[in-house]
Amino acid sequence: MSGIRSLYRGTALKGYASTISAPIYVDSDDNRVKLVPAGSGTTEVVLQEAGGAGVAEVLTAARVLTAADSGKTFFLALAGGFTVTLPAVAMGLTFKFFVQIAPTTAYIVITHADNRDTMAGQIYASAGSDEDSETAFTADQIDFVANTSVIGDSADFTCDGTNWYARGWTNAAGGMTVTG
Amino acid sequence: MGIRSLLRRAVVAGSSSAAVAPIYVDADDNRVKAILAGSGSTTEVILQEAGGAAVGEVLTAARTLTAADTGKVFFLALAGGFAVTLPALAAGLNFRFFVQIAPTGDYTIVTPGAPDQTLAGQIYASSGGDEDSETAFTATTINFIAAAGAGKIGDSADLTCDGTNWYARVYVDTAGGATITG
Repeated sequence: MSGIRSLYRGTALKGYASTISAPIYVDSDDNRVKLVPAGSGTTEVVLQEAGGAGVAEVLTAARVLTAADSGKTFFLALAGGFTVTLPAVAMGLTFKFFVQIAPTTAYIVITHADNRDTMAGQIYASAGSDEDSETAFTADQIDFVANTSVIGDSADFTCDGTNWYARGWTNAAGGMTVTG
Repeated sequence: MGIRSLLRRAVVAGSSSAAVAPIYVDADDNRVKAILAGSGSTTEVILQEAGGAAVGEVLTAARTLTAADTGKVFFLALAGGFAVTLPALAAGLNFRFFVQIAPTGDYTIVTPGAPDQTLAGQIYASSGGDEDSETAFTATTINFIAAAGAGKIGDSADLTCDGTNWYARVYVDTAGGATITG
């Protein structure tokens, strides 16, 4: 017998999880595969794509991320810069950012207002110089510094459910900072 | 109309064939698994989550990982430190570690076996200078160093396996915060 041929596609899942059933669907709002793998409620997890439009996004203006954006790579693309706000803390959230257009005003990635000083982080420079870091969960943002950060600078963020771990890679000394 | 749910149980139902690839949610660890190739029932692949409780885990004691842990992020959270042992070699296995609590005893990530010399890697520091590396597959262990407070919150390591060896990228705050030894 052949297997199933398609997933349900809609704006929300149908039904809820049980001991023998894990609802799955394609969210027609963002075209990502989501399921409820545990419990008996409706807590969704996004299945990570290996590529495709759903996993990457070019940002040209400020953006407040949600848990449904987890796993995405964002390309920062406005010379004038803007702020990206991370979602509320939750285990396993991950985000990646690349500078697509070098900023003349900083790009800022900041924690959610409810979880402000929850970030530790380290910056590594291709130039080999000493860079910024926060070795306690006391920071709240990473800045891609205006007129110093360049195309290709990048950062990733991972959440343990309580705090954020940030790693930044920059070309030039001072291209990125971690501040509280 | 497409399907609305996956089977949820402790083991896969059925086996794969030329025309069928079984898929299910493992009720033990809540991860989506499928048999994508072959005709048996043993080569399960985990479909990676983009977030959620199953993809992250806080470790407070020694742990031996298995292939079923692949794709996870582990947060190292005991000041006294402990050892994490990698699973047997298999292509595509990948793990990420973050120091959640700075160690007063080393955290170590160790290859399985004697341990086996199957690890190469490089360490990058946010400040302080040249770092340790292994440019042949002759190492066995990544150490987040306790001495002199070298290992810090936020230090991290990414490990990837090609089926024969392990590749490590390690990021630390301070020079000497981690080493790769064999």
